[in-house]
Amino acid sequence: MKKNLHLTIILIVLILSQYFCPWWTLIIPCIAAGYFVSVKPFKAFMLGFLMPFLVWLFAYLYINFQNSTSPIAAQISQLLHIPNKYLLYFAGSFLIGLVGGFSSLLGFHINGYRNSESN
Amino acid sequence: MKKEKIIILSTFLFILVIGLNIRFINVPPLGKTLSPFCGFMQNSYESIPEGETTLEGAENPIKIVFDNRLVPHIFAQTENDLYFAQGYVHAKDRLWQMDFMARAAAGTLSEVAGNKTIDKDRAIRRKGLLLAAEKSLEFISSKFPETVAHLNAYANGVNAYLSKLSSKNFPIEYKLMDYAPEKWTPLKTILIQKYMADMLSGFDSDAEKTNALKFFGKEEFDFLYETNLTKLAPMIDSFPSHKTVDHEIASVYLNYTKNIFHKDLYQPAPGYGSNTWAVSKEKSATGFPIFANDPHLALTLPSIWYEIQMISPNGNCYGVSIPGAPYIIIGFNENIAWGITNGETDVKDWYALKFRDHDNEYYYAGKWRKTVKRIERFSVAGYKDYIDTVLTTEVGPIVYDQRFNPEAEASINMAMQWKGNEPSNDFNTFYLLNKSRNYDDYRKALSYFKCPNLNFSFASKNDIAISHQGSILSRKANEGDLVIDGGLSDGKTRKDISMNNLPHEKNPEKHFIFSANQNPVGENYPYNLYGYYGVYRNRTIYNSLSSSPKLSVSDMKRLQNSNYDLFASEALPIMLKKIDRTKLSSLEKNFIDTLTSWDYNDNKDLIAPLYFQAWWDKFNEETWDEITSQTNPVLMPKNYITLKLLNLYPTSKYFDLQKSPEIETAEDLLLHALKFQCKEIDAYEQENGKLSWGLIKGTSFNHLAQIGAFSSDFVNCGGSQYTVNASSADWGAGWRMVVQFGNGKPVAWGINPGGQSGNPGSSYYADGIEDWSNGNYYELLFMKDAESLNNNMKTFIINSTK
Repeated sequence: MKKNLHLTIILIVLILSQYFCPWWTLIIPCIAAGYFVSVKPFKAFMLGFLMPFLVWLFAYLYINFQNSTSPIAAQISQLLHIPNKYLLYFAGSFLIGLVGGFSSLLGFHINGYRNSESN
Repeated sequence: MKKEKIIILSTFLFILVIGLNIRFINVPPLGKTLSPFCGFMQNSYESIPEGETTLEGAENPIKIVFDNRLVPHIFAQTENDLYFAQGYVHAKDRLWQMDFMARAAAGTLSEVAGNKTIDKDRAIRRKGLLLAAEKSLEFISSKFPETVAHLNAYANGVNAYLSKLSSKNFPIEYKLMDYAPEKWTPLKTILIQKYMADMLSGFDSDAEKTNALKFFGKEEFDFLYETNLTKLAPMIDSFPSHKTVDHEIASVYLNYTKNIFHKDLYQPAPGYGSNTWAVSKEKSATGFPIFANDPHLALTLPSIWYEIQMISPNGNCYGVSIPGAPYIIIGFNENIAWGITNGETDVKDWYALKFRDHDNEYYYAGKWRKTVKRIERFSVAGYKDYIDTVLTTEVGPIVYDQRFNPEAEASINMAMQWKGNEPSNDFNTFYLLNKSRNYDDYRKALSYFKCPNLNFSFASKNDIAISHQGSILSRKANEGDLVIDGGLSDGKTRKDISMNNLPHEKNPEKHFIFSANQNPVGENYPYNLYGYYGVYRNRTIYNSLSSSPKLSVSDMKRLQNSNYDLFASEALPIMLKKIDRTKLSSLEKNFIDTLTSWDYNDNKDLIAPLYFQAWWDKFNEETWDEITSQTNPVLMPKNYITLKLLNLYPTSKYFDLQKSPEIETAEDLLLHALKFQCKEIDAYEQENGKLSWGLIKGTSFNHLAQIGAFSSDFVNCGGSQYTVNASSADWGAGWRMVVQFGNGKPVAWGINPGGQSGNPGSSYYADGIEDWSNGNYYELLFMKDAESLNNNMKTFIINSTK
C-alpha cells in the first residue's frame, strides 16, 4: 500500500513537472520511483520508462484530438524524416521513456548502495 | 561495484539530458522540442484572442475584431493606440518573421541560422544597413516627434504581447533553432524598412555592363545595349520641364577599362516586378474610377504582407501592412486608394577605388584619403565566430573587395553610393496616405518619400494619378549605368531632381494611368533617367486598357491574371519563318506545329510555352557564347536586341559559334537549338511523364528560413516573366487588389495567398494559395463600425492600465 501511495505521488509530481517545469525535471520523480518502489533493476527501468512514456503519449494523442486539423505534427515528422505523425508521437514518448528508465535505474542503484552501506 | 554503477549511470544520464537539450547544427534540442507540453504540439493551437486583457501601453480601450480569414479590424480612439494594437497583432501572428527580418537587415542571421547565411550577413553589414537605419532614426527623432510616438507605440504593442508570451507558445521556428524572441525597438522597424528598400533598389548591372563595354568596344556596345524599345508605352507620355539641365556627358564614367570580377550574390530577379493601373470614370463601366495594384515579390511563407483594417476618429483604412512596421503600405480608405510599383530608376552607384598601404588609404577625386576600418564579428550557430574587416570611404561603404570576392583585383575595391544611406522619414508618406482624402493630400504625403524609387498610383471618386517618386540624382548624360572610376571623378555631389520635376500626371487624356516598372516618361523630359525598365507587361496593359471603351472590375481581375506572352508573340513569328520544314524530323515537325497553333498564353496546362522558352533560351545562350565563355561577368544584351539581330542581321558575327570552325548563321543556330531542345524535352517526358508549363515552372512558396516542411507544395499556375501575371518558381503577385469607387464607401477585392498566420500549424497559414492559383479573390471586409459583426467574428478588447 505504501508503494502504491508513493507511486501515485510520484506520478502526480511527474505530470506537474511536465506542465510547469523544463522537461528534464522528470528525472527527479523517476529517480524517486527507482529508489522507493523497485525490487529488481529491470523492473526499475521499466517503471521509470513506462510512466513518462504513457504520460507523453497520452498528451500527444489528446492534443492531436483537440486540434485534428493542424498539420504541425505532420510537418515536424517530415522535418525529422519520420514517415507519419503517430510514429513521431511514439518516437518522442520512447525517447522520454529512455530518460525516465535510466533515471529510475539510477534511483534503484542509489537505494541498493545506501542499503549495502548500512550493512 | 555499486558505487561505480551509480557514477556511470549518473554520467550517462547527465550526457543524455544535455544531448537532448541542446541544438546540434540543424537538429533541434529534441527534449524540449518534442515535449507535448512545451514543444511543437503546442503550436497546433490557433491563436485567436477572445474576451479581454489589460496591457501596459494602451492609452484607451481598443477593440479588435477578427474576421473569418483572421484579418484584424482595429477600432481605437487615438492614433497611438492604433499602432499599439497593430504591433500587438503583428506580434501575435508574425513574431518570428519580424524578428528574422530584423536579423537579416542587421546581418545577424547566422547567429541562429548557422553557416549557410554567412555571406548574406557579410554583404548586408558591408552595405552598412544598420548605420543607415541609425542615421534615419536620429533624423526622425530630431524632426518628426509624431512618427517617433507612432514607432514607440508600435514597439510597445509588440512588447506587450511578448510580456505575456510563455516559452511553450513561442513560434515553432524559435523552438527548432533554440533561441528566444527579443524586445522590439523603433530601430528594428527602421532596419526592416531599409532592408525592403535595399531589396527594391537592389538590382543593378553596373559591373556587368562595364565589362561589356570593355569587351565589345564603344561602337558595338552602343548598338547592343540601346534601349529604344523602352520608349513605347511609357508610364507618362510626356513631361516637359522648364528647368535647364546639364547635358554634358559624364565622360569620366566611360573611361573605366579594368575588368570587374565582383558578383552581387543576392540580387532580386529582374523582370518579375509589379503592376498597377486605374481607369477614370469615363472609362469605367460603373461611372466611377476603378483601381488595381498587384505588387510582386518573392513568394514566401509567412507572406511579406499582412492584411489589416485600422479605424480611429482620424480615419478608416484597409490594406496590407509589413510585419515589423506600423501603417498600411498599400490599400484604400473611405476616399482614396493607392498602390506601388518599383520605379526601377537607378539609385545605387558603384565607384571603383584604388587603395594602398594595406587598404589604409584610397584615391578619390584626385586625392589620397584615409580609410575608416571596422571589424565586424559574426556569431554563427554551431561554429566559431567569423571576423570580417569592413572599409568605409567618403563615397560610401566598400561592399566588394578581395576579402569578399577572392577573384577580384587586389587593391581595387568597390564602394556603394546608395540613396538609402541618406536619412529620411519615408514612414510619414504611409502615415499621411492612410488618411489622405484627395489628390493634394496624396502629393503632400509623397513629398517625404526618398528611397527606394517607387511609382505611387492613386484613385479617388473623382481623380486618377500616378507619380514617379524618390530621391533621384540630376545626372549628366550617360551617368550611373557603369562603374565609376573614383580617381577620375570630379567629386562633386549631384543634387536631386525636385519632386515637381519628377514625372507625374493626373487625369490624363487617355483616361487611365498605369505602371509596370517601365520607363517613367516618353518624351520632352529634360532630365536623364536611367533604370532597369521593363518592356513587355506595360505594353500588354496599355493595349488592353486603351482598346476597351469601358472596363469593369472583372476586366481588372482578368488583366491581373493575364498570361498573354507579348515577347512570344513578337519573337515566335520571326523564329518560325526562319525554319526550313524540310530539315525537320516528324517529332520536330510536331514541335513546330504546336508552336504555330499556340495563342501565346503561358497557361499552366499548355506545353507550347515550354517549347518556346526552351527554344529561345537555348538559341540565346548559343548566340552569346562569346559572353558566357568569359570568366568575368559580362551583361547579356536584352532579348529584344537579340531578336532584332535575328530579324535584321541574321548573318551577324554573333551567330557564329566560337568553338566551331564553320561559320554559323542565325538560321543554323535556330535549327540547332530547336533540334537540341526537342530531343531533351522528349527524353525527359519519356522518363518522367508528360510536361506542361505549370509543371516545369514549379512555382512554390518557400519558408523564410528554407525549412522544407513549412514551405508549400508545388503550385500549378501560369504566367512567366513576360506576362502581366508575372510568375516564376519563387516570385509572383503576393497581393492582388482591385478597388471600386462609388457613391458610398469603396468596395474592394484582394488575395494574399500566404494567409494571415505565420504559424505553419495554423489553418490560416498558406490558406489562400489554392484560390490565388485559380485567379480568385476575396471580398475585403471594409467595416464601418464595430457593430456590424456576425457569428464568424471574434472580438478582443485591450484595456488600458490607466
